[in-house]
Amino acid sequence: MLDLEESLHDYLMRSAVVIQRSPDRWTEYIGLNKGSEDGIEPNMGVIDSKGGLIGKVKQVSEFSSRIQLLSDNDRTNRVSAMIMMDQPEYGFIEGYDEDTGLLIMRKIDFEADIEEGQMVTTSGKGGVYPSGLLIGEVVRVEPDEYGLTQNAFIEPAADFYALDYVYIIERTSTTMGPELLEEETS
Amino acid sequence: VSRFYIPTFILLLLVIEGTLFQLVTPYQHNIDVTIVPRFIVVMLVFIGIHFGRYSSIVYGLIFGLVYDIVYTQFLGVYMFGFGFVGYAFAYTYKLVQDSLLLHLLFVTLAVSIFEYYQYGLYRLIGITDLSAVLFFHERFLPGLVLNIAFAILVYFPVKKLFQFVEKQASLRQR
Repeated sequence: MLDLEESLHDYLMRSAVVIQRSPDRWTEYIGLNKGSEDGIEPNMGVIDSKGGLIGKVKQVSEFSSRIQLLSDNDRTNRVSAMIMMDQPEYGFIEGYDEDTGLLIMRKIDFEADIEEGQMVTTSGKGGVYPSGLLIGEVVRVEPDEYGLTQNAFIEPAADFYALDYVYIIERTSTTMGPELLEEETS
Repeated sequence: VSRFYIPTFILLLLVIEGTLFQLVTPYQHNIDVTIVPRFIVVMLVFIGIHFGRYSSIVYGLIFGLVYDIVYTQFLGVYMFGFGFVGYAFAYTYKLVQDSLLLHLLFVTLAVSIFEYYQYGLYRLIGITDLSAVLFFHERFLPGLVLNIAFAILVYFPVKKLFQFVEKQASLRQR
């Protein structure tokens, strides 16, 4: 057996209660009752009580934090995800279809054989979320507008509109330092 | 003590908008309607009519700032919007003060202006890509109905409250 101490699955969980939601529904943010005093930091993932990913911590103050939901219409709101099959297919959750309530997963290999009902989880390769958090299941697949990759529509496992208790996920495996991610500027 | 009644009431409304109200109107995918409470705008118009421009601007700026800090991530959108509503809807004429219909007219105008100001701004900086027609049907009209209903509901209690506060203030001056 290989003795691997560390994996992308490693995480710590903290429970929290939803205390508010943006009244103007232009942005999809919720407030939680845990803050930096409880060890919460920006970019931690958040799952609902049934285990479906709902978003990430965006802002933290001492005793509360603000969560950006996956359904928020923001171009930088991305999740590195994978479709569970023998050979996982990777892509990004980018965007939310408000009419149908489905998440859109883009940049999937055009050759990939994706079927309805396959599970989608976080891949852990984005450096933000740990690997293996459930996002939802595939409902529909179509080629993207340029015909180079595929888009999958995903029914989220979490209900973004019925949130009361949630868990904040702290990724414990190492992430690349910002100095490594920066391109050479000289 | 009575001078704190109105700020406390507005603070309560501010909290209700973000907490209780979100439980009362859960979002549903089959009904494409988003109801946004603008209770503070309604209250600002009432304050402007009964206490004058100075009070409504101060209330608007302070509660706009609180709203920005608590509920949004860009400072200033609500502060300017509420301040502007406080500035623009301060008609302290006896005719207006006694008429429910004129109150409702100004509430309608204030909520419309505020909604379109916010929609225009968010469309400009790319937070939303909702088209103007959809915005009108799905957000503007339902929200307007709700806020006018709220204005009718609180019209008499709030008027009583204002009269009480004014009476206490005049007693204090003597």
